[in-house]
This record gives sequence, structure tokens and C-alpha cells, in this order.
Amino acid sequence: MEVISDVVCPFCGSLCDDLEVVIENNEILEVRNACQLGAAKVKGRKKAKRILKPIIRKGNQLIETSYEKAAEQAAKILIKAEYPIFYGFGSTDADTHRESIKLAEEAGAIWDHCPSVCHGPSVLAIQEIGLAGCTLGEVRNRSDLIIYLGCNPMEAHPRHMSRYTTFPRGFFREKGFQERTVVVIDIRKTETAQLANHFLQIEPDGDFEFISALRAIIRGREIKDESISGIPVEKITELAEIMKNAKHGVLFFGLGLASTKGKHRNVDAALSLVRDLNNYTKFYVMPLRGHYNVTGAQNVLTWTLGYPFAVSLTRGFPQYNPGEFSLTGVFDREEADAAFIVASDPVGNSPRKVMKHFAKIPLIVLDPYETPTTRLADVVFPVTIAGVESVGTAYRMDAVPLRLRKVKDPPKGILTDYEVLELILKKYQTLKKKKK
Amino acid sequence: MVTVMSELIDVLEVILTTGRTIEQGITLAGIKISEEAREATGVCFMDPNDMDTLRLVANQNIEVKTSVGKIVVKAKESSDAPHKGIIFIPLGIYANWIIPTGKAGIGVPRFKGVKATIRKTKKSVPKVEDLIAKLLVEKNKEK
Repeated sequence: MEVISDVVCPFCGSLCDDLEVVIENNEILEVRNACQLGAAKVKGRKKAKRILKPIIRKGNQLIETSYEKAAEQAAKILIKAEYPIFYGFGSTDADTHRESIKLAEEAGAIWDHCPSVCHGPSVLAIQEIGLAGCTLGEVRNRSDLIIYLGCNPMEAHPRHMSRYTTFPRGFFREKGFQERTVVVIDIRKTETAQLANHFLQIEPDGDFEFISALRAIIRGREIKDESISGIPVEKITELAEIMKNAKHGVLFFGLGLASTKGKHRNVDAALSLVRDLNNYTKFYVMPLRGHYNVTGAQNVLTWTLGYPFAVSLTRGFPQYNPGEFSLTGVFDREEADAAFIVASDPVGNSPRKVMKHFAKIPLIVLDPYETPTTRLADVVFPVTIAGVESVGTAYRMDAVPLRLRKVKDPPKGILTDYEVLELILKKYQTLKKKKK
Repeated sequence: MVTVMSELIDVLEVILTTGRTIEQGITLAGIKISEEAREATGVCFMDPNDMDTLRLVANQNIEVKTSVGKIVVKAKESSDAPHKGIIFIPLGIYANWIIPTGKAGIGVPRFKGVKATIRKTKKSVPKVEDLIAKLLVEKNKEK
């Protein structure tokens, strides 16, 4: 029996790096320190449907094949396609992102990833306003005011409060939670809200008005209405005072802000609010990122092609236009004629019109497990689980890169995402050369 | 607390919001096509007052309808109430079955604050496989 310590959890954007994995004969017996989500991912579920052989669809039949033949089939699909899209990447390592961008460039494809159905509006707002950012380590050691706006970390990032924001003792917060105030603003009294010192229940789609009123009060303006977005003005005034008097405040937000009416304009308002607060005190803001390496995909794409998501390489150079090149945009107009999916399940995670278009076009998928997307696929490549069966780099939600560890061997003969991409790229180049 | 019986109706207009839950998150570990996934994501959390209005009890099935379609899910009493007029369906293929592409010009769909109606139904909650089978019909048409 061996205990591997300091394992980085490959589930959510919190990327907790204190897991201990107990292993014997290549079987994980126990995952210590992880939340339910992390433990499920690292240990694996007994009933999990692992894919162990590459698969090709022939008519209605799914046929097991070799990596070589599957790679050839994938390359043929990409060569034939006029408007292919690469998508996913939130749950794989940074080297895979880089290699996939190389293949997308060769194939003249669109390269898009999870912000397109998630924090895309936040990314757009950050590009316009900028982000007063800090690391989660700073929050842990310094923050005395934690605000969660339109997010529920107790369900989505279960250790966020216990490891980084609320309960831990920090260098300047020796008394832990006794020295911190937590405020939750949400449309429901969620598990997170139940742990807060203050909970403000906001009406659906009321974010922009609420934040605008809060900004006005912070600037000393008077609000004539009795309530804004369902919240009494006296409560908003109280919050404004709490925020101005904090020593080190941080505002975390989720899709409850970014995916409601107003979208990037809501986030724009939140980022501006934090900018205003820096006239009085130290205040920071951070989006809560879902998949463990969506921040990595965004970083790799930005340092490679210059843009954070929804990039088209169809004309041989990078073009950025989220409305035009995001997955939902391209699929809503039924434009894509092939899709290449890595470490994602867009069939399960996208609106139905997008699901339906996936069914109509040739689909190549890299995934360790069976998902609704692999069920619709024409070529499926089984891969290792990055961070459990193979190493790599992932970026935490505060953009701190951490090295993923390998704690066990993958099933025999299974390649990593990176190795599969290398293989397809080689096949693609060979076939393309022959064609010329 | 005494619940004042408001008028009983058959169809209720609500705001649909979607998001993560622990149970939904666990299904990402290789069991997205399973009974566990149906139980975790084929559900709808409602304010108990709204359930009374529809004469619903926990675990009864409801049909949720939006501008793009309808889906049958199991009604559950929300532990986050009160949130009258707001229903919550965990992120997944059930919620997305009725989410419009509504991109607001930036190509990102709106997963929260979608207008919907709900009604009691005797139909059963489809399995994840059933929903995939419907999509595969499209695939086979293309062949």
C-alpha cells in the first residue's frame, strides 16, 4: 500500500493540491482530503463506462479498431470538412491544448472551448474593463470580506470556502472564519447562502440594477426607490458600508451573474464596482471557473493565437468573434460540417438545437468515458484521465499553473490526449501530402 | 407556518434556472448515461408553495415546457426555498433539452432566467438513453 501526497485534484477550478491517494496494486483504495466530486473523479465510480478501444461508426454499427485506423479516419474527416470546429478542452492538460491548436491550424478549423457555454460573458467584460485580480492564496491569508454573487460554491466548488475563503486560518487571519464576513447574493437561499453572515435574495435578472444601485450608494448618491431588484435599499446601503470598510475584500461571481439577462454587461458592472471600491480599500474580483483547466485552455489559446475563446483559423490566420465563432453560434446556424471534441460532453451540455446539429455531422471525440457525445460520434478515441493516469499542467481559477500528478497506470494500451492528437496530426499531414 | 391555499391551477408559469449540484457533478465521473444521472439531473426543485398550487407532491412527474420544447422531470421540494415562481433543474441533458440557444449576440446561450410553464403529467421521466436515441434518429437520417 502506498500513499501519494500533494496530488492535484482534476475536477473543478479550485484545483485543490492537498489530496492524498492511497493505492495498492494500481487500484485506488481511498482519496483523502477531496470533496465528493474530487473523490468521485480520482477514485472513479464502479459503474463508470470506460472506453477501452478506439471505435469507428460504419452505418449504424460501432466497430472497435486500432488507434492507427481511427486516426486515419479522423484525418480523412478533417481533410474533407470545409468548416470544422474543435471544442472542449476544459478537462485536459495544457500540452493537449497546444497540440490541438496546432492541428486546428493545419485543418483550418474553429477552436473554441467551454467559456462559450459558461463564462464567455465574463471574458468579454474582463477584456473591456480589466480585472482587479489576486490569487486564492492571498484570499486565504488576507481577506476579511468574501462576497459570492450568483454562485453556489458549496455545490460546484465544494472546498472553496473551507480551503481558500471562509474557514481556513490565514497569515493575517489567525482566527479564521471569526475574522471574516461572508455575503451571498442569489435568487435562492442555497447551501452557500445558509453559511453566510448576510444573504440578500435578489429577483431573477435583477443583477445589473442591483450592482448599479450599489455603485451609486458607494459614490454617495441617494436612491429614491424603497427596494432595487427585490432588495431593500437599506440592505444595499448596509452592504456598501461593509464593502467600503473591509480591509481586503473579494467578490466571486458565477453564472448567476454572467448567464442572466444583461450577461457581459452584468459582469462589466461587477468589475466596475470592484474598481470603484479600490478608491476606499483593497478589493478584488474573480470568476468561479467550473472545469479544472478551463482557465488553462483560455491562457494557452491567448498566448498562442492572441484571443481567449471562439477563434477561427478557417482563413489561415486567427480571427476572434464570439457571436460568429462560438460553438452555439456556429451550430445554431448549422454551419459546422465536422466537429472534433476533446475532454468535453457538448451534446449533454448544450441547448438542444446544438445537440441536434452534432447528430448531423461527422464527429470525432477523445474521452476516457462514454458520454452522450461519444454515443453520437463517428470516431472515438479512448484516452487516459489526465491528473490521475497521466501528468500535465493545469491552471487554477486564479490562473496559477499547477502540475498534475500521475497516481496510477492507465488501462493497458491507452494513450493520452496529447499522444492521440500527435498521431492524428501526423496522419493528417501524410494524407494531405499524398493528396497534393 | 400556515400555507394559504392560493387558487389551484393546472399550469404554472415559472422562471427556469439551471446550475450545478453535487449529485450532478458526481455523474461527470463516467456515469453520464446511467440511472444515477437520471435521478441527479432529471429532476426539478420547486418552491413548496408552487407545488401546492399545482397539487403536486414530491417525486410526482411534471412536464416543463419552454419556447423550444418540453421534457418530463421529477418534482422535488427545494431546500433553498422560498423562491416562488422559480424552478431549478440541475445542469445536464434534461435541462438542456428545453434551453433555447438565445445567444444575445455574443454566442453564449442563456442557462438561467428562461420562461417556462409546468404541469403535472402521468408520463415517465425519459432515460438518458431515450434522449440519445432521439438524437441518433437524426444521425441515421443523415447516413
